[in-house]
Amino acid sequence: MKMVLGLALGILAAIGGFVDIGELVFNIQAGASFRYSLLWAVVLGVIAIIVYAEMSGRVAAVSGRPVFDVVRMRMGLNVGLVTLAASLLINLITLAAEVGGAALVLQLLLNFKVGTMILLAAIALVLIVYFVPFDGIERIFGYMGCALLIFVVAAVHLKPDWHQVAQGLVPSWSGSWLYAYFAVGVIGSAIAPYEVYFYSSGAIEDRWTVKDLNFNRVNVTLGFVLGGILSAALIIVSAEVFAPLHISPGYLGTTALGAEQAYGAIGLLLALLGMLFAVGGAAVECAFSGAYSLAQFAGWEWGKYRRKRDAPRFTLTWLIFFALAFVIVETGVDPVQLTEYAVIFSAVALPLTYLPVLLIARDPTYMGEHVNGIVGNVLGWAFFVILLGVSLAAIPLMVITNGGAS
Amino acid sequence: MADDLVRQRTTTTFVRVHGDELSAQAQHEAEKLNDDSIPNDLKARAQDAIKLASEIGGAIDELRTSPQDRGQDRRDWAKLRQWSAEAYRLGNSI
Repeated sequence: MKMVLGLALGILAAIGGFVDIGELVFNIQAGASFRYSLLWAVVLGVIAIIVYAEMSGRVAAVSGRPVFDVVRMRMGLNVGLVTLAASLLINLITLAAEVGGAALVLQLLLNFKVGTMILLAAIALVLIVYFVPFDGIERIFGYMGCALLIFVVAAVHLKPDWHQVAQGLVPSWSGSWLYAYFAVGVIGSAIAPYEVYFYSSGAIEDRWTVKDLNFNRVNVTLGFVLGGILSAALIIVSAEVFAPLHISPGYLGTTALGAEQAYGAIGLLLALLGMLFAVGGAAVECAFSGAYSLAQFAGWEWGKYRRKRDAPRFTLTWLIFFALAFVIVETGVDPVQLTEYAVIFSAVALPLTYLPVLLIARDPTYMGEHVNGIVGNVLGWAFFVILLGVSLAAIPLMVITNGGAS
Repeated sequence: MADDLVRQRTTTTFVRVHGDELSAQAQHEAEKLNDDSIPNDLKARAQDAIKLASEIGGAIDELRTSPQDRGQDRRDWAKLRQWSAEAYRLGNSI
């Protein structure tokens, strides 16, 4: 019973934690511009994250090594350094976008100046991370982020044409660069590398062993599938509310209007609350992910479960991450614009993150009897090729479409 | 947003903050159009677009200044609907 409850809670946290500012920006814009026709990109991204998160959780449980440890071990110091530098930069940009997003949502709720809200968001996040234990952090943000399920309810309430929705699940090509750009954005948002860094390091934090492999499998599958449904609901709501009015949703406030259209002020408040905790949770994951990467690469003591004085450099690193993100957002840069850069640059770094995971997960020397099976290897390589394509296309598409503006 | 405000399905805080973003964007679009070098055959339509963007920004400003004034909200809502249709037609004509 206790295990079932733990599993249910873990899944709930995964649902609430799946959506971040990347989905809130890209999926909403994708739905407004192309209605349901990019739903397949959500499906693709969700399957890819399931495949690779399962592998990284399994590697962590079996070998006791989190992803960045694996990156350095398999790719060597030089490639490892490049991956580390890229990962730290992307984590920082993403963290700044998430902190800025949290501040914008707070402003929509409280109507104070945005500069004050950025300070409030940053301080609140640092205090929560400093004082709340690891599983508490996961659950606070995961459960509260579930308020975003209002978008799933709204998607059904708005009575979309389910036949067209089903057609959107089949990959298609509209022939426009903008369509390709949003496809890359939607996939990139779903499979952001920081999620896997955080997930595998979290497995070490939670002291997973081979006994937890089934938990890992069920957790990633159900959690990410249900998170994917939430992500798809954003596209459906946007297709129903914004596309018919030719609205180009460039603000987080516009995103919340989708739920408001269906359920009025209650829908609006639930959407804003869910968005606040979703981006807040993602901010924590990004800050930790950056600190995990650096600490694991440098061989420092790391982990939220350790006392701060036992892992001082790890603690200092995530504090510095928050401070830098705060400075970046306080310059006045638009968090939505920042999100687009973060997602596209994350997409570029995908192969560097996922290749080492795949190589270790299929290596019997490390994994013993828990090595990838045929299905795992086929899916792993198939998605690696797709992610490589996404990675190579990301920057050119951003340039051609002027960041999705044309 | 105006639609939800008229139907009393939103919060005044949200209208004030999000309205501020939207009216600033409308104003910014008007300024951009004003500063751009526009070919002669498009100048008249560009002027129409500038006027529309300014009017839309003004109506949103009225909404966020007094979101509880139901009569004013309804008038602004009607104007915004009309201008939205005009903006769409204008966009398609260019």
